[in-house]
Amino acid sequence: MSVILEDAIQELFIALTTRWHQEDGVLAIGVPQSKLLKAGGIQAPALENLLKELREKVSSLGLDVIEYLYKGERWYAIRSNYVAPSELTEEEEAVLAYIMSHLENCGERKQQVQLSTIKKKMLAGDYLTETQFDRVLRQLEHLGYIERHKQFIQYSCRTLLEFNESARKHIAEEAKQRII
Amino acid sequence: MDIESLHASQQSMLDGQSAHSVSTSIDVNETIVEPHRIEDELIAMIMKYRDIAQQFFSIQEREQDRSNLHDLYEQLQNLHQKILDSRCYFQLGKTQQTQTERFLLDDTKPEQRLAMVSYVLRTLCKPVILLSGKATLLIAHQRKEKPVKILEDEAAEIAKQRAKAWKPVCKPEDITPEDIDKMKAEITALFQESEDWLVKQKMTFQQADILSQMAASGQIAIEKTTSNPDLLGITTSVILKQES
Repeated sequence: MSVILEDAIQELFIALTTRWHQEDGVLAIGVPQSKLLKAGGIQAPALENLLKELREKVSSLGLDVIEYLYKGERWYAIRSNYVAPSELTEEEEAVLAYIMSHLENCGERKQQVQLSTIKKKMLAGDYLTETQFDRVLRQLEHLGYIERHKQFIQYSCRTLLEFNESARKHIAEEAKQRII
Repeated sequence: MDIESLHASQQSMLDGQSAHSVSTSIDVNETIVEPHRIEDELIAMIMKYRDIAQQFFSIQEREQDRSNLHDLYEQLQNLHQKILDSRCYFQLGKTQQTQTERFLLDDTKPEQRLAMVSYVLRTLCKPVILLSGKATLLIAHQRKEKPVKILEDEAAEIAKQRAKAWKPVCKPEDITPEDIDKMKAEITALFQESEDWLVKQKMTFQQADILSQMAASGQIAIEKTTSNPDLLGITTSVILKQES
């Protein structure tokens, strides 16, 4: 493989794993296609070939190059194929699991839950204080796991990427039984 | 039926072991133990009540009770069956299950339950790889620009100039212990002149230094009366300011 191609793949890996924030302050998960094309000064077919090469290289590390649609644009990111520690704290994980227990029971059309429902359960059951809950929710939103629209919470892309459907259902069931 | 089987059945009848035996004799020494039932308990309690009531209540009252008890006795005959036949029995199974789970969970603290749930989530997470660090993704047109000059030399130059301009304010002098004791005595005398003594006159640097040391060690207390109630009780501090 030529040196130029090696450098390009290296740059692409760094780009896809770089931690950067979007304009609204939310953590970006990967890089949009438009940005990759502009940065490399290349066309879409060339980018596809590069991504294919990168995918072959990282597969031995237990990683995978994934693509997803977000706000009408195609994004690329690198994800682990195996279970690994996340950057969430224990409280954040528990709150996310409880949010999943509500969202997984919603219909496919409108997967959203009222913020007050989650807050009420977390506070009433002495799981978290109000300050803790607000902090946890803010962090989940900042890290790209949930989105808040007025008084409703729904999944963001990161939750859907890191947890597949069966995992979400299992987590929802366990959270429903334990958070009473 | 042939003769041999007839003899066999007669023999079994005598032994009382035949399934077709029509004997109704009951061995009084053999007690038949029936399964424990709720209605038996209730009937036993009613009978006991009746025996006790004989000691305290008149015949007329007992007769009234007896008629009531008779009605109650009939209702109690199949109480257990009523419970089993009622619809709530089928719901009770699910309720019992939920109650059992709640009972077990009630023994755990909320933090423990949160930990359990977070553990489940952690075991199913396949995270997206996001690394901290400087991005090297360059926009194509930026590659043509010249690199920005680093201003480290200028900063070093400014620091040098500042170091040269700095002059020492305090000059070290030779002060003997006797001088220090003398200055302490002078300051103490000044304090003893008036209770509400405010130092307005200028003093030398050495006098001010001694004053601050004495205040810090607790030998003197510097208090300033003030009409501002917010400052009452606040301990003042000695600030050394040298006028050029």
